[in-house]
Amino acid sequence: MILPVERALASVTARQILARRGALALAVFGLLPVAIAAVIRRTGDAALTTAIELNTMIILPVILPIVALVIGTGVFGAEIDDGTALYVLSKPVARWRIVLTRVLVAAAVTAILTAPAALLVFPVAGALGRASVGMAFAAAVAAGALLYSAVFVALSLLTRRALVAGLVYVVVWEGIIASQAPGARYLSVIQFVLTLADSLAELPETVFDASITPTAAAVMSAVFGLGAVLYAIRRLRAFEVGEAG
Amino acid sequence: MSVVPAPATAPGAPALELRGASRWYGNVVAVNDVSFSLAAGITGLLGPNGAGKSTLLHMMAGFLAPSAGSVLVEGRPSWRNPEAYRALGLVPEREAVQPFLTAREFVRFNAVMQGVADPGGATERALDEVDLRGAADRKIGTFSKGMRQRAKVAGALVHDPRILLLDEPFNGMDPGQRLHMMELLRAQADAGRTVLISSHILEELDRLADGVLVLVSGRLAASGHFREIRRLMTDRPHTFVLRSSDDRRLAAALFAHPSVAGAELSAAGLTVRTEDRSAFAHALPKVARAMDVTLREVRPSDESLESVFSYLVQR
Repeated sequence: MILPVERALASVTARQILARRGALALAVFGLLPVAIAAVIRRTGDAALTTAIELNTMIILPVILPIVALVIGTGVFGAEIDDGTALYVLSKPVARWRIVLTRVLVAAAVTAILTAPAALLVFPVAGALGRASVGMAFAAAVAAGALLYSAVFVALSLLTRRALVAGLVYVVVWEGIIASQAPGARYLSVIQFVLTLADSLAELPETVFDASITPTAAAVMSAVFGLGAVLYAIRRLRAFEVGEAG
Repeated sequence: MSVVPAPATAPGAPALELRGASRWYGNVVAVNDVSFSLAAGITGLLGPNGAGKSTLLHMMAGFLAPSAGSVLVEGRPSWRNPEAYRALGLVPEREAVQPFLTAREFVRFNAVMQGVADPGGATERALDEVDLRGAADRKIGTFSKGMRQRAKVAGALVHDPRILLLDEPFNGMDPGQRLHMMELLRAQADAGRTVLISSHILEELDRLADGVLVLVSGRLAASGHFREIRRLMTDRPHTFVLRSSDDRRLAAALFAHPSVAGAELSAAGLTVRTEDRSAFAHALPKVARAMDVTLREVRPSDESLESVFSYLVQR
């Protein structure tokens, strides 16, 4: 059997995420845009515009970061809170293997909960035959899930209030500051994801145009992703588990 | 520096060793300059709640960095050293175990994460050892406290560690479960393992621990053989509060008895201090009868564990 440690850890981590209260609510939240698409069903170009707007205004900037935040901060956060972290950390397993496995599991669960909607809103809104655009958005959501998961897993090892800190980042920084100050977009994960979606979907600029260049988005994604993972590994190597409370 | 006497079998580095280990949080000192080393056998880590037992165990388990000094597992620092976990089995005090796992899944998870060669076989052996085979496919979330504790021990034993650290393992157990756990730990020690058990109750370690370390306010207050520590704790000066038909007469008569070190009259009754508890216990009824005084109440006034421990610190 290959990678038995990673497989065991991944399976327990995934079950830990799914066993949490609110897992079902997250799944419903992830499919919310599909319900909206069904309600405002259109035809022709209007349908395509609707589906794209559901992606660029709701799925990518709201649903994806929120789901990634709850799951990413939970993989270490929840078990540090309830004390079960000891059972994972008290093993002769290099800390980078634990961090990488958990980031990948958090990303996979996030992608499974959010990417289907990115694709489904196209046919449901009435934009039939535009599956390639839907696939482009779904792929961008999956990539975004990986990037956000790395950032939020790292955040959960930086502070016990990772959920609040992450919410401030998503709402205040990405939502408000970055929309006013173009420079701040280079430090907004969502802008990297939008740029990737833009590059993959190959849509006319009048329909959807991301605000930073693909090169900048690629470089900054690498900086954020690698930086977050390296930080998380460093933190976990010297992670103190205190007494109860 | 004090070394707990235990049969020294392993050559070279002791299983566990603390050298001047301290740990503080800001201005609060949780563990203060503690040194000892342990070899095979059962050692009790005794102290009142808040004495620093958990901090000490967390340091040994590599979950807290010593602020000063060193904490060594088989000669190597436990902090920032995941390889140390090959030698360590941990049973934490907190009850939480992933509740969605069955006991078998939990033990197997520990086996795989430890890199055990035959995780399936090791899992069954560990479940057998704690007598949990019958409930192995039930979710741990449905377990009683005692069963959960056994599942935790099975998870800690599955990789056959040379050292077992248990934080308050008897908390919440009924007498039957406790006896079973004691037998289990005794067997581990007889197999040559180093077992360290923390407890805030002296009696829990009775007939179990070979050596005892007493921790009070973060300091190692006493250490030695269990019997020695128990004698120190029971032979200290005792104080009794008596109420009788004539406290003053009784006080005068008791003062003459060699077992009595002091007596004081107050509204609450007659407080008597003795250096020799059993001699006093024998003498009291005889003296009372000789004086024709009726004893109404005899109660020890300072039997709280904290006073026992603080006596040990003052020595």
